[in-house]
Amino acid sequence: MKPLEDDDLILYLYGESEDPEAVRLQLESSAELRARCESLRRVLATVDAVPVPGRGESYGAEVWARLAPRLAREGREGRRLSFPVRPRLQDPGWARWAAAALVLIAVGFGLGRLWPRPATLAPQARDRILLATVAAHLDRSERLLAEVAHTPDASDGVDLSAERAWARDLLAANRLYRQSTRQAGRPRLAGVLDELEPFLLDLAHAPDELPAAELAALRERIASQALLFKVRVASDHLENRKQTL
Amino acid sequence: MERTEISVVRLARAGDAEAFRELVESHSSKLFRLAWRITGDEATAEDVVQEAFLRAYRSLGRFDERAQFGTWLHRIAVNAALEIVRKRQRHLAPSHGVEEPPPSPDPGPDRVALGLEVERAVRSALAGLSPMERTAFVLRHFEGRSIAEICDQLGLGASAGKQAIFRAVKKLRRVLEPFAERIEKQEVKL
Repeated sequence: MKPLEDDDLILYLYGESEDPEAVRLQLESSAELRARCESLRRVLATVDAVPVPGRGESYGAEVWARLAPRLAREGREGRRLSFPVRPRLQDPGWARWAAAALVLIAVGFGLGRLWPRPATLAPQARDRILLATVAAHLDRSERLLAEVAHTPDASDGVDLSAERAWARDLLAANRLYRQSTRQAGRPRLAGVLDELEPFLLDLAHAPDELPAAELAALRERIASQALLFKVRVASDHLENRKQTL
Repeated sequence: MERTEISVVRLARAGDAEAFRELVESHSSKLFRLAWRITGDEATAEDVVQEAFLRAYRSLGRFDERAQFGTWLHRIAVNAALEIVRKRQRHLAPSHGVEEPPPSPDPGPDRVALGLEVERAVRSALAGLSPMERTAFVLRHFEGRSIAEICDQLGLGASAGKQAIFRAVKKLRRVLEPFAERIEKQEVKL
């Protein structure tokens, strides 16, 4: 039987062990393991010692009081919302506009059904799906870059195993999206993914404990190649495109 | 007849501001607790709550009625909190993350003092986590979300999600283990 590590004990304590019975048996047979598990349990219990600052019963009303003017401002600025803001019912102008819009939608819908579908619809749909997928990928990559850029220094090396596993997940997807965006005629987007890939590759193969100097080199790479900035710009661009497609 | 939450959501989606107000009022406290645990700062948590409701308002039309409104809002708040914490970190000195040095685990005069010391130590230890580690830990430890749910919510692979939690627990342990032992000894004595 594989000896249990702290990671297994953490999963066990959170009820997420794949084989809790096996863990329980090992705990029963080893005092040292029980002590380690107990120590972890105590630490986790200690975290609960910090009370959350209280909020009174009127807190929801206070939040609304601050939020309502912002929502009203958004409405005035004509920001596109995903649902209509109901105007005052006594406003006759609103009713006229709504009726006209309904007629236009109905006519448009009818024409759309009668008109033959343009042959470009399938590639457009494909493009939309590709952009949405790459946008999600860039968003995850941006988080990873930010995570590495903000990892605190430690003189005895930094444990980047989580980021490493994360980079591994992203790396395979990045290769695929790089090829797909190039084939879809989006060289600039493919270029950003191109630049991202060597970074993901190196991080995916980084050691468990990264020496402080190597962490500094990774950060320097993010900064000097403006990687985070480029990924963020591409991600924002795709978000805007998604809304117009 | 009492209104169900989904009926309130439908009204809000149809543009009823009062219905949206009802949703804000019933979910604010819960969102604040979540936001405070992720950000560790009251003012930032307030901003997260505002931002989360603003985003929810903008995308209410895309809410899938098969889902729970609270779960959907929770997800929006987690993402807003992560984003706000990261943006603020970008504007701070690189030393940010640990607001103050971890307090000494030397014995205090009494249990009250120990309580305060522990509280300070926990805050300091949580501040030493990266935004992703802290968020993953908060979702697992305080919010009781499964690791699969956390990975889905944060856009992480299964392995990366687990590693974020493992790392968080190990970092917390480095700071908090001496306190955890002292608490137990004091409880035995008292």
